[in-house]
Amino acid sequence: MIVTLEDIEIHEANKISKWKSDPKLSKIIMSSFKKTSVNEAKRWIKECNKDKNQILKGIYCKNDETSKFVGVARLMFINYSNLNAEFGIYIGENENHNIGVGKKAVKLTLDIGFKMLKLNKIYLRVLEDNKKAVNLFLKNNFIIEGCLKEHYISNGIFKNTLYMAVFKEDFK
Amino acid sequence: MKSFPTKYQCLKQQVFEFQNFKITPIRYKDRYEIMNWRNDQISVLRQDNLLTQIEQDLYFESTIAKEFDLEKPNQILFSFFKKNKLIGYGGLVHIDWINQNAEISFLLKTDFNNLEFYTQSFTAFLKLIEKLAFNINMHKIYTYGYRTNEYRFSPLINSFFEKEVELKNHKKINNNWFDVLIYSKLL
Repeated sequence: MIVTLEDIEIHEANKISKWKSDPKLSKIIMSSFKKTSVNEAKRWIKECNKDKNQILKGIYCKNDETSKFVGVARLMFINYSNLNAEFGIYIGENENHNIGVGKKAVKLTLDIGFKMLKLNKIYLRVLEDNKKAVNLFLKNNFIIEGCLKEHYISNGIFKNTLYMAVFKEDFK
Repeated sequence: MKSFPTKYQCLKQQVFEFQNFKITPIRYKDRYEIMNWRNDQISVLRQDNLLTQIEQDLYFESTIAKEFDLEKPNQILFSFFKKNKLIGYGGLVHIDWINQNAEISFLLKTDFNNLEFYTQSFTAFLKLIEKLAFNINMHKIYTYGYRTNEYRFSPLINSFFEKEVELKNHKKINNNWFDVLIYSKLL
């Protein structure tokens, strides 16, 4: 299986709508849960693509015959003065969890940030108890820069959020 | 502008006072003074270009004015006074009503060498902002600062804010890298 990052075609909005409307997924990725229609998802794709300080990519799993859109990777708030950007990623399709798709997609996104955009630093925020994601980022040479205590509410409970970052010189 | 709003709809209490210090909803007439301070202190702000009067008018009229009428605005800004004299401005920005946290924004008039004035004013401002945050049921307030001058953090530390995050080499000023620190307080 090959993992690629590609521009998200507007007809993929139905999947974005499905993922954004999934309360379980929104908790993991710390987005405020909101039912999202296909039209809203289309508008979101267009707005992201228009934003000069953002790169939005679809994560695709491919084999000889098929290509499947399984998740989203983004570099946001790209700051060309400070040479940094915030990273966001999720795999929306459950069947594509735990098979190495996330790992490859992280590497590909960092490639864009460090090699194409020539950034110095890429950072992200992740729930402290999302151990799988934290470990994935640690394996990709991210370091923990701090912990925002009780910064996010999930099911009425305040949860901690980690700030993690990887620098150009530590990216392999 | 014909009439700039003077009351935030989301607030029961509009004016907060502590000793000689006071915050009131941001005033339209303070906009150029604020613009000058921002331009003087551009290197420590999230601002890339010098502001013009036209841009400042537009920002006040099209962005700030609208926030006054919202039930859950993104930001609540105040003019900051000592003995009824304008000395700065700030408030709560990036208000996250769901997760009940907000970022403190603060800018004092340009007076780089007066450490005592800075410390006293920022300490008072933090007290006022805590009252405001409590008023709108925030759980947590936080602020960002560049590690250019450590003394800038002493009012935060003395007000029981905790350093939660050190973002290494996160800001470039005059070709030098600086860390960005996040200080927070649970209310």
